[in-house]
Amino acid sequence: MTPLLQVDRISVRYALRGSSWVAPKRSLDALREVSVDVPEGGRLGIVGESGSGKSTLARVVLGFVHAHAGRVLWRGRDIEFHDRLAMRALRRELQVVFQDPFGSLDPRMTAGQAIGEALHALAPGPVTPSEAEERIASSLEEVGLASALADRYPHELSGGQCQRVAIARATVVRPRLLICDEAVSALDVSVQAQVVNLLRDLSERHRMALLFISHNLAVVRHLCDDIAVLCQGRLVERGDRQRIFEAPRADYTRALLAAVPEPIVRKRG
Amino acid sequence: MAEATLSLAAPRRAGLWTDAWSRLRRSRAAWLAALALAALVLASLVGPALSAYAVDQVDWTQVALASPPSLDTGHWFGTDANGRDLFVRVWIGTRVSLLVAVLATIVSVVIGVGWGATAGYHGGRLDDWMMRFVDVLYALPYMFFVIILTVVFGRSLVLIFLAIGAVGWLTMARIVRGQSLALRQREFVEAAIALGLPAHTIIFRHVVPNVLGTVIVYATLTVPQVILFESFLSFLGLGVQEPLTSLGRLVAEGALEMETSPWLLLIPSAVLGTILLCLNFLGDGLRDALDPRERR
Amino acid sequence: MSDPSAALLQIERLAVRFGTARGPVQAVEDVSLEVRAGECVAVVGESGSGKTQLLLACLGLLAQNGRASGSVRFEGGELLGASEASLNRVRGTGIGLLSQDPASSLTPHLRIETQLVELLLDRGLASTAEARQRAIAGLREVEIAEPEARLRQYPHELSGGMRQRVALAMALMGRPRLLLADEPTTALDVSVQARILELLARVRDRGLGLLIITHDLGVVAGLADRVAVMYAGRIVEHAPVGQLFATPAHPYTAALLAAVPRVRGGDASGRLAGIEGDPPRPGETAPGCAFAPRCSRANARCAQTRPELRTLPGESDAVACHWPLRAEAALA
Repeated sequence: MTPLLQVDRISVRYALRGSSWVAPKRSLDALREVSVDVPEGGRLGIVGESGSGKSTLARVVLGFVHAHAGRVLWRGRDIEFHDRLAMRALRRELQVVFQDPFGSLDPRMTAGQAIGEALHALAPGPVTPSEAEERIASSLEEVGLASALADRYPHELSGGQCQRVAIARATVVRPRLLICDEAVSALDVSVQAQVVNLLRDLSERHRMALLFISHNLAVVRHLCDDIAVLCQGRLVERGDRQRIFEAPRADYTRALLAAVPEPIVRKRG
Repeated sequence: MAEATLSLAAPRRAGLWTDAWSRLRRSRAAWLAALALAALVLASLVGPALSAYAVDQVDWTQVALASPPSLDTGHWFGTDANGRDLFVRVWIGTRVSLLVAVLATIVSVVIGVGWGATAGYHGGRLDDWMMRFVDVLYALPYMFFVIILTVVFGRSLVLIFLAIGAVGWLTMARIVRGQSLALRQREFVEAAIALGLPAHTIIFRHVVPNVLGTVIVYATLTVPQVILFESFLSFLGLGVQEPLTSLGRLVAEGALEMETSPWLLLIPSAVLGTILLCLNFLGDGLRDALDPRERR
Repeated sequence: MSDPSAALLQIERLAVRFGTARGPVQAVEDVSLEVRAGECVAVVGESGSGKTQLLLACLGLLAQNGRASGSVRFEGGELLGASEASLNRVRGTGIGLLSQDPASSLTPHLRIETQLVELLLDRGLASTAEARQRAIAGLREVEIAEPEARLRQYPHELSGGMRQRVALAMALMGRPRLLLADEPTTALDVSVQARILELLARVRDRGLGLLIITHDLGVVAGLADRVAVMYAGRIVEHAPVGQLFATPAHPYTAALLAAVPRVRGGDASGRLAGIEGDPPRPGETAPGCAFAPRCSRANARCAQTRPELRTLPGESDAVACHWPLRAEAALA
């Protein structure tokens, strides 16, 4: 079966700034021939440290960054990032949640307005005001927030609530794939667990695929079925969860797993 | 349309502007400043009609040409060195100065914000070209530019607004561009891009409202500059011409007679000072009102 | 506890209050802690728990509108209310500070050398030539290769992990007896985190007192001797690290431990045990236990009376809970 999203040997090269006029152009390879795919309803975790290119990968799929080689396929067909109409249709199926719970909401818009904006921008047809209100309320409810919170500004919400609003905004039109770029990394542990559970529930309930990008191996282990490990722009290893965590093949993966500090006390020598 | 859909989306809080309005009304300083400004505007409109004298009328009945303020003579603010009624002249001057200041500021805000936000949001080559254009205009000696404009098109008040505004927007564009550049990196702008919103919608719905605080503070700083610039132009003989006057001119003329007739300096200065003070308070109030995080 | 001279840092009934437009906000309340030489104490809490304000209060670095009351003594000398001059004598040479973000704790436009020797020259602790030698030795101590070359570099030329090691060297430059570390590994990659934790452990083994503020229970496990868990400005549990992890007494500690996703063990396909609700914001006060609204064991008493921090019978563990998890069997 054709996967929902296929990233096929993508390479991204950034030109380094300050070298364009006099000196020869220097560049940095952010991604080198990386291929991953996400099946319909699947949950792929992309793990890596800073500089691994994991966020660049998300930005390529979203069309924010231009890949200089390789293809991105949606249901087996090339994504035409320059075709505005095609992209508009695609946005309805492919949404994103970012890291910073406060930064990803416009400080001058209430939660309801933010979700409403997404609804109006993405819904296939016109949405009547009463229908909009209803769908905003139900999308808030779906992410575990009272519909009364629609009137709140981001600064009146906690970090966890903001992130739920961001998720509600991204899922109000029921996308087929949700890209989460470090979506739980800035949250407190107790709240992080709630949001991880929420993403998992939404994914299962609506058969919504996840592309979950994180530096946190433990979170990825609890959420994703498949895991890809990136290091300095290269795909180091990929496999199903059990294999990666119980029998990692790459040295890098092993080192990464060993380095995670866990709340277990070992005897000090 | 966007306004309507957004307001319907959230029933109780009707939108940025309605919210800002209710917050502004809660700020006592801003509210008082607004009332004081309204009173000054009203005075500048009806003041001249209250006096028995006209703006260019010399009162030969007085002993000295410059007579001090007095209720008996009907020269409530006294007369100037030419024997003209200061009360009438101050309000006419206020009218002219406020008009020049407000219109020139509006011109500079509209062009500056639009230009700066567009350049900052798009970035890249478009930003380079747009800002190089600003740099080129900066490099022109702008006094010279204004003088050429007035010489070519003749003197008129409208031209003064345009000339001052056309120069004033350059700094505004730079400030807004810098802020927009930073906002573009923010995740909420990226989220809006991921919603497939067109660039102009993102600029005017997400970028511009978030730079308004800075814009308003800078705009209130622009007003005194414009008023002073206008009086400088008038001094060169390029601004408003006698018998019409402006606050800047009155202050400049009053300064010459400071030792013999202090009221000629004190009264116009007091009006000018009040206007600037009120604008500052109002600007601060507006900035806070436009920011939902009620900082104190 | 009996011999106060043994404690390097002694915090007693510390409270931190901020005056805001919406009235006073209590950030820290009734916190008592002590750190002895060669010991690492960790303060664990989520955002808004007051852990950072606790640390800032110790160094007299609270924001303008903040007031600290109670007592903070370093080697017997009171720090609260001390003059800026006497605080400055303690800062750097008595107490070192390692902050979260190495990118902002180093001045971007100064060479590493300038920043490292600044303190020594400023206090007249060394001559220019000696200072350079000490800077090199300091960098060696935190395992930086080619220290001479590093001295000539600027912060942006170093990697994040390297910068944090330089920041650690800087904090240790004045040979302090106590090191305060605020989320020292949070901004770093896991592989780099481990190095920093090792270095911190070595610092402790050399006899320095270490007070670490963190939200990461994993960081605490390998390093701390004792742990104080903070919630809504108060210490809710204070225990030796082994005991705290093996048998937490406060329901919040237990829930927090359960909420941490693990790399090993457990059922990875199941749901994570999150704690319902959100931590209270600073300024939201309740008459009872602050955790009661999120606690599965809470009853009417928890909502009305605030539990005091008390030592459990026959144990070294102190807990502020009416219904502690561990005492149940003992008390029943």
